[in-house]
Amino acid sequence: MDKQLEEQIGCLEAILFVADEPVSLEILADLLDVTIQELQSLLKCLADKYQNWGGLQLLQDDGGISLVTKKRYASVIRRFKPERKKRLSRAALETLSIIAYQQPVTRVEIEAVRGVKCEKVLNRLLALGLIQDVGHKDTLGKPLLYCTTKAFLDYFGLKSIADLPQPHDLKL
Amino acid sequence: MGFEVSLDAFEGPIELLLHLIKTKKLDITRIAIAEIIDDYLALMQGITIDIDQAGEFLQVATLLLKYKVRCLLPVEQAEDETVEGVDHLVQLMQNKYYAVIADLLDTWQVEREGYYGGGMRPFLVEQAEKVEDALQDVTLLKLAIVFDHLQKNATEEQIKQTSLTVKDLTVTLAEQKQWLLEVYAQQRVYLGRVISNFSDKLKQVITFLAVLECIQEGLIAIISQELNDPLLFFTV
Repeated sequence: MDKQLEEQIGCLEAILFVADEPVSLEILADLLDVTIQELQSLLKCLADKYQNWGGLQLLQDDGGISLVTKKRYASVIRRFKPERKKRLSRAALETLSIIAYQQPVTRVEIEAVRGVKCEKVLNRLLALGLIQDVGHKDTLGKPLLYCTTKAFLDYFGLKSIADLPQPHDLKL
Repeated sequence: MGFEVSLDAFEGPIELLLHLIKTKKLDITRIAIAEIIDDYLALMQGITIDIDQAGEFLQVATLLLKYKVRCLLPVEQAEDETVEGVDHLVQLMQNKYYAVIADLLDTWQVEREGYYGGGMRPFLVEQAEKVEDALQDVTLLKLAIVFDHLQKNATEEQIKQTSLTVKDLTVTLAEQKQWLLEVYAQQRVYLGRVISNFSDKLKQVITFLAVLECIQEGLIAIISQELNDPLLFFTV
């Protein structure tokens, strides 16, 4: 491996190591001053390096590239940091689905679809940063309007809301 | 108005007819409205028409016609039912649709939960780390996050410094009930008087709870409904 290639891979690894969120191919290519094709080749080299070595791996999804721990070490990490990950509840997931597809949407509109009160779930999703309020609807009572955030996309590995399946894609 | 209807199904003032039909005490389909109108027109032959009376008759006749049309042509109702049915179906489809999406999101979150790293930072921790940001635009929710953060990160020393000593209860609810029933047996007394036996707030609260329990069990009756200080009667 030539010196320049080694340097570029090191640089790529360092960026991904410090990134707080998945990094897009475009940003990485720009930072490394390479083309997307060249970047793909660098990513492959890095992925190969981790294939049979170390506790890390590259994860590529619609949201971008992340340097993450290998899944088989999840249990030991959970023991090390037990409080770190909590799954979203069914109620939270259903509420998120409605917001994702109908945004911007009010609490009453969400409750009309779910048929149950959603205030607590909304507060939790707001606290988790998965949704945000984006203003008031111009109607009686001026209710808050909710939208999903970039954290929502990152959490589920999406690049944009458009990546969510459309009704005709689903088998109902 | 004074116009009397004379039909097989009904005889009497036209206003009464309208009332009976409105209140569904008479079946409009049994009323021949054309016959009523013919009778009215026949009555009006050769006399001077009072425009007010004619107007009232016209209004009542129009209402009768409206009820009859509604009754004979239940199309509107059928349409409503169809619309309701469609709405219900749409609602069901929506629920099913969002349930499928929720399943999908769940699959994605399960797939990703085994990974830890830059792009996988857990949100609860991430939010809690932003204490300074949270204070810029304080809301109750953000204060709760800050509190949660402080609790999680407090050292044992800090916890000791801020810990409170909880006093043991000097009297239990059962004991206080017993005391009330012994002291005030068969007496009438104001609630304020009962409570004023104690200067300790905790005892006052327990006494109040004991009174409530006694009321619930029928051991104390409330004689006057004075909101501030009801008069109690100890029945036992």
